[in-house]
Amino acid sequence: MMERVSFTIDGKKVTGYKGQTVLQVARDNNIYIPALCFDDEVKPYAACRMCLVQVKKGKRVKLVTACDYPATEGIEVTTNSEIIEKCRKVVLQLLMARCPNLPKLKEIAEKLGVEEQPRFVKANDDCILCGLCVRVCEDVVGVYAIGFEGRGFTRRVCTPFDEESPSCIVCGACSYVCPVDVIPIEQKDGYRIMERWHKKSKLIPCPKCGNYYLTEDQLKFLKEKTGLPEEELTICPDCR
Amino acid sequence: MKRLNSKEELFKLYEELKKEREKEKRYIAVCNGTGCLANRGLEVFLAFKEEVEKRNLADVGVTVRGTGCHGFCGRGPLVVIYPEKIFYQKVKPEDVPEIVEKTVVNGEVVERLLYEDPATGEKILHEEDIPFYKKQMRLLLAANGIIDPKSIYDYISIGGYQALAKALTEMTPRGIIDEVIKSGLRGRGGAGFPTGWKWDDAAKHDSPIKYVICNADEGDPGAYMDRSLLEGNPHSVIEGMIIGAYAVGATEGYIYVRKEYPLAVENATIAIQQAKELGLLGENILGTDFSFDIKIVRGGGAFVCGESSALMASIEGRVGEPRSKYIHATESGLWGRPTVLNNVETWANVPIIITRGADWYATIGTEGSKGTKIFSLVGAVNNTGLVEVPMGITLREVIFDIGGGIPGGKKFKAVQTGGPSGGCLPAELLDLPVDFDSLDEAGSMMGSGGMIVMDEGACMVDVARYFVKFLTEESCGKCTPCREGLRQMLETLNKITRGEGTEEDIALLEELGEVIANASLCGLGKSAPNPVLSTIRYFRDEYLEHVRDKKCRAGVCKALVTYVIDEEACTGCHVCALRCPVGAISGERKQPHRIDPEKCIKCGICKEVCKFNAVKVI
Repeated sequence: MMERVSFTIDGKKVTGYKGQTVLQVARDNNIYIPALCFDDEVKPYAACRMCLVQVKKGKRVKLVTACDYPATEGIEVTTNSEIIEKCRKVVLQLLMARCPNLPKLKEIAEKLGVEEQPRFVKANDDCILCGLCVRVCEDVVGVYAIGFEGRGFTRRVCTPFDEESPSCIVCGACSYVCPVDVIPIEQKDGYRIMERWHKKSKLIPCPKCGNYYLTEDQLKFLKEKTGLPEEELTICPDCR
Repeated sequence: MKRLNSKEELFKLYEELKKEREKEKRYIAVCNGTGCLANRGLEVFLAFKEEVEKRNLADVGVTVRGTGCHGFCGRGPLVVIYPEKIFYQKVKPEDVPEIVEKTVVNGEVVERLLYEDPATGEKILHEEDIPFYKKQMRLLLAANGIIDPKSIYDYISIGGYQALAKALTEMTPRGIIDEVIKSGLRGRGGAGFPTGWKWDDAAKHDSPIKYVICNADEGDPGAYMDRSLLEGNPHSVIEGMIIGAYAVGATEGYIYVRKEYPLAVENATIAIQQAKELGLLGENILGTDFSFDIKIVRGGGAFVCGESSALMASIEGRVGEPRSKYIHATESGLWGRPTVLNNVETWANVPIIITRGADWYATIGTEGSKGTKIFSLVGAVNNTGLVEVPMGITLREVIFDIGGGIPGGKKFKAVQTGGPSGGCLPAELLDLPVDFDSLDEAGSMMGSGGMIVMDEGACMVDVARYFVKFLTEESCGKCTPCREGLRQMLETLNKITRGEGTEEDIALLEELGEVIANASLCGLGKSAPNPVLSTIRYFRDEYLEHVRDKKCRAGVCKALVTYVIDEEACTGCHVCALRCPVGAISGERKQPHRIDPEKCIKCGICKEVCKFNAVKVI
């Protein structure tokens, strides 16, 4: 039995389990805290800084990221204050200056009532460097096909040497998890193509319904990992 | 080397070595710190060796000792002749035969190599009488000048490892932690967290494996106190680490040192090897059942790897990126084990506290900051080098009494403490006591102890821009405010120095600064706005001049200055016209010249070459 912990968010009493983070408990209780770099399936990364909240523990109040702050008995969490709003606003403005053409960012900005900062110098990037794709590829898929390169403002996500990744299995998990939808995945002429990682892989039809479900590289990887026969792995979830 | 199996054996060795040292009639301490080595210090050292050998002076008790950094680096290579402590500076290999002949053999002084006080013109004979050293309190650096860092026997001969013996045989781990808490020692790496509390927390967590780490990833431009300690007295750091490990129950230690510090790596490696051979490190230290080992990990040189969680990631072989520290390293640090990470200087304080006691230690310093602190005093100051002072000394004492004031008769403008992300403090705050809390309140920080002095020739907007540029390049890029915010700050500062800024830009800098300081993930980001916010706080006029009047009073921001020739002062010597790379200066010989502002590229050569000070920047 998991240990339960209770605390308050904006004065409302909430209950979660030990091991959860403040953000997870907030979401379970339908309390909105914006977050771009968090996903339940991977370890929190605390990079986007959108989920800043104030936590009062004992006498001390500090600004923390809800995505990785452990749910702790008796703490008082505030999701809105002057400094939180200011930080969120500027962080979002900074991301919008980096990526001026992302509909997803604009959506969040509208929701939070944040406008672009005209004085910021604009870049023309599309990646907010939340690292979800990298972490999913490492922690969930386990193939390490992509990673961060460079540091500071020159940091970016890419395959090794920006070449076709030998380890990418074109599973599309990175595309699925991207919070701003900028890792397109295309199925054309019997191939699944991930332009961003310079990689394509032949699609294998489901032996029962004939629909495409997984790629050759995926199948090879799954065979090695699970030891199951090919016939079983190629059957799509609908036909299983 | 014979292994020491008990405290008694250590003391016996100490007595023997001490006697041997007392037999030395005279020894020549040649600084072999990196600063002096870069200035032919090694040649000087070898020349002394050769000369002493040639004259068979060893037979009469003369020895030559290559020591660690003496601190007065601006005057290197340094040589001190003991026991009189005759201090020679800027010694060249060619001077060596004369020094040996006159001072070592005949006891005479070589006048021209003595230090001359720029204020009084007086020649000073002894090290301790030089103003640079007079007001210092050299607890940690004292041994640097008198021992060979490559010899553990030298360290033992001055009482080394006796603190460890005391800790292991007379104190309990709890007792040691209480002693360190009582001493009031705070981390010297920058944040100033109380060391004893950190140890206390690590000791509380039960784990079969615990680690202690020495952070020697000093990365602040111009700061080198950790380097000098590790190079000059590595055993003091190692002894501190062993005591700390015993106190918290750690079995393994790491020294994380940047690979750009080859001498520190070399001397620490030798020190660890020698300590192992003597049984002061490894299995059953000094015959007790405590075992502990230290490994060296060389860092690649990223500034962010000085941040504790990034440092641990780097030791683990991962990318040097920080993580949130809501769960402290003392609970889950290196490889998920309880870990105590302290800075080089912090570790070096430990043996002193154990030997002399917390009560004595706590008498040094201020209410909230105990002990001494080493600063790298650099920039527009007469005496540059490493300065160790009691906490609470004023900035004025450090800069004017120890540092000898500002060269060239210029006026003091600001001092930046705490490295690139420290703040710039103005002349009004010269009487501020130097301690953790006072510096914090003033909008700067202790940091690891950088102290950069600036004179009136510095433009504070440009200074802020320079440091923000450094930090922008060194940001790891993980979190948004640091990565994107610093870049926008830099762009805005560039705009202001180009003369394109407005008052709204100053407000934007303040807003960005507040957000970066509050929202960033690690200490690098949280402190990065300091240079900007502190210069806006103390030098707002200069910012306003840049954006309103489009003027830079220091004449640094090229876009905002015009070079003109003062007709009264110009003698028409024509030198400037000959040297101007773009032919912007015209005029007949012996007649006042003029600069064509259209052609002028503001390179400043005319101002440099004018002997009559006729070229003005307005």
